[in-house]
Amino acid sequence: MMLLTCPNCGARNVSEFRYVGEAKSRPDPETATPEQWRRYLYFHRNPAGWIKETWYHGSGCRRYFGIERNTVDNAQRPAGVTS
Amino acid sequence: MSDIAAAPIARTALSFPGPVRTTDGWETTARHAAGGLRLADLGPLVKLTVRGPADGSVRAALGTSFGHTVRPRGGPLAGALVVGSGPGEWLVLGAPGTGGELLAGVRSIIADSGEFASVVDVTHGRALVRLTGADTPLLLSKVCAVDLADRVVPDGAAFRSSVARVVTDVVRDDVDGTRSYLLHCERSSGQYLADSLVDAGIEYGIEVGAPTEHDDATGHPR
Amino acid sequence: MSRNGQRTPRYSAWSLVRHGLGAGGEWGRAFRHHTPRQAYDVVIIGGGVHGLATAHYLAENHGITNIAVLEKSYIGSGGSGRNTAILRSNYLTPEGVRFYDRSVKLYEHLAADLNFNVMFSQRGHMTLAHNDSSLRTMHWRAEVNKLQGVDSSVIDPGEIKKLVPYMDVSASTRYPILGALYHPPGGIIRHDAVVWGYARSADAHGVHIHQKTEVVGIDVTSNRVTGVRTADGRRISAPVVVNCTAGWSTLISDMVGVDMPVQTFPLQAAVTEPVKPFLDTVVVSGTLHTYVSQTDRGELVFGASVDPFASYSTRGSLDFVEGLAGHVLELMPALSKMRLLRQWAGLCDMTPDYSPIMGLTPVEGFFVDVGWGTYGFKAGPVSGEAMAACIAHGKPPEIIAAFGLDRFEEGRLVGEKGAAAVGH
Repeated sequence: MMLLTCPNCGARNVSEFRYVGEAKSRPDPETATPEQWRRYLYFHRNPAGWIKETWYHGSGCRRYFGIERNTVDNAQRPAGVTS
Repeated sequence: MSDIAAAPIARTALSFPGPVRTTDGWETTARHAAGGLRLADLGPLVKLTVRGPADGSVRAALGTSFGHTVRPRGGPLAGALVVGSGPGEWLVLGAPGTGGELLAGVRSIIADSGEFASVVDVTHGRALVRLTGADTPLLLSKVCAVDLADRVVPDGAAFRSSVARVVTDVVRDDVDGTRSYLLHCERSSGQYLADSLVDAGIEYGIEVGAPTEHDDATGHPR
Repeated sequence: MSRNGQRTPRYSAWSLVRHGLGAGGEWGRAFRHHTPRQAYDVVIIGGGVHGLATAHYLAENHGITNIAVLEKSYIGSGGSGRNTAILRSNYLTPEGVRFYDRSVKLYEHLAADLNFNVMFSQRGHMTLAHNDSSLRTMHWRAEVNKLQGVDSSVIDPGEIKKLVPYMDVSASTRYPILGALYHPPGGIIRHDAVVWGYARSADAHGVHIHQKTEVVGIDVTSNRVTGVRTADGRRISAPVVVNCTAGWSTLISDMVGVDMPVQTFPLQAAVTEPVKPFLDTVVVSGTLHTYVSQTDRGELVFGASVDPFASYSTRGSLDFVEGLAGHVLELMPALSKMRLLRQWAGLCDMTPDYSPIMGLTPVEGFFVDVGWGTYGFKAGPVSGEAMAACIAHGKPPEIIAAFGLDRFEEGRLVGEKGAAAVGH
């Protein structure tokens, strides 16, 4: 089982978490055009490598948190650390 | 009060084959467990959830934070067990029938703090069991992936994780030097969790019984 | 068939006997190795069933043969060799039914068309219903299918038991089986043979298949594709470049700056040791996220839903095996002593509406046939046929008109979610 490190609870089985997805900046719903909003909803960077993403620790602290994960080998590091 | 104590007005989340008894208005199993590994239904205990800033005056007044527990000796929560069950989230366990006093106690703490915080009585909405015996870490390791070594989860520590795939608060709360854990979950998952624990404990000779005075989370004889 | 003038030997019963008797020498190679040319009319990235079928139909239907298929590993090493080889056309939307039915029809004649035994076994396909709402959807699907002329009906647990005696259809299970959508033309096929058959046929038409040739860059001049660069330092010029990759479709599209509404998820599958034949239909349970079939060799092939988070990793997980075993035993308790031989994972490019992305892109000459999620293999022939027409005529044919990339920004999603993606 892959382990994911929660900033509150420490390393836990990945099955305790829900994958939220890539961390993206949300356009302002007041001013965004439908096209911009759909781009925000549907398009992803989907890189093979490091990516900043959001997870939810549903079986633990019940908090959302950011983490950086390498999508090729699932290595992780705390969000905000740049290589 | 005597008629309330005699007639059940509530059932705990768990039922087991065999005789039942009524204490403090709660119907629970009357089975007696004397073995080295025991599961006791602590459903009648008062359970309050408190939410507020993770590091403010409410935290200071409750006296503990996420991952730890405390038994206040004085003040409005004297006699209760305060568990840091999450970041900015606490669970207060008290003896049956003390709900009103504890609720008032926590409310006064919140009022004094001036912080945005809340307290809810979830006594009837949750299940609570105590698992006691030297073999409890072996039993729990079959249904929970968290390392229960002293170094990681010492006496007085608390965490929330998946136990038999049920989201459960686990509190290490040794009784007279014997390993013991409190397990707390949503009421509707309680019977399943208890059955899973009994199933996992068969090989260690687990017994189900009514709580004894040692099993009371508050540590006070009843 | 001709191979640039020389004849490709036909596979036949007669040639099998001849070779068996020692006459005729070694079997010839099914497709040849070439030195890449400086320029092609069409470069197809991805040597799976989609890429090779596109090359085959470009040559066969449109007479375009100056084509290179570039494959970074060996042909069929990606999704084409990792799927569970199930074919069916009992979809929910009329567009989906029509599209996949064309694919099944092409598969039915594929062995004859390609002169290659693809071992298509139309053994029947059943999708189990474990609750009232899914049974209702099954009835709906059956009626949609019948209107389109697809053989499909709802059967009861007694009929299921007759078809699969080992199935636990009792009411005492956690998810009792209430009925099934039965689709007799569905079945399984040898997926490697489909890849090899298309490769051999494309090769016979003069298409170049370059294995171990990874594309690392695509050249674009004034919004027009001019060629590709490969990992071994070559530059191959071409006015048309087609992205036929699965798993890596985002990375290829990134090379021309075309954003993709795609997330890549691993999908795991597993196979048991071979046993005597006992299961001659494909059994699918959406509720239990599992599908089971028995191969001609006797192995049971199990598939599931995609992993719960995006990744390019193809490592198997114990979590998956545990869940899979529980679900399969729920259906067929008699399999409790079976041993798993191996497990693997393939990469699925999931789109927001569980439909593919096919056709033109904002960059001229750059075509895509991607976003095939968990249902790409069964659509291989029809996709190749449609993409070939799209490339030859410069516009998507009607059958794939709804699957354009522009639908996401314009908000015209194609909701095949209920039926196309088993286990989602």
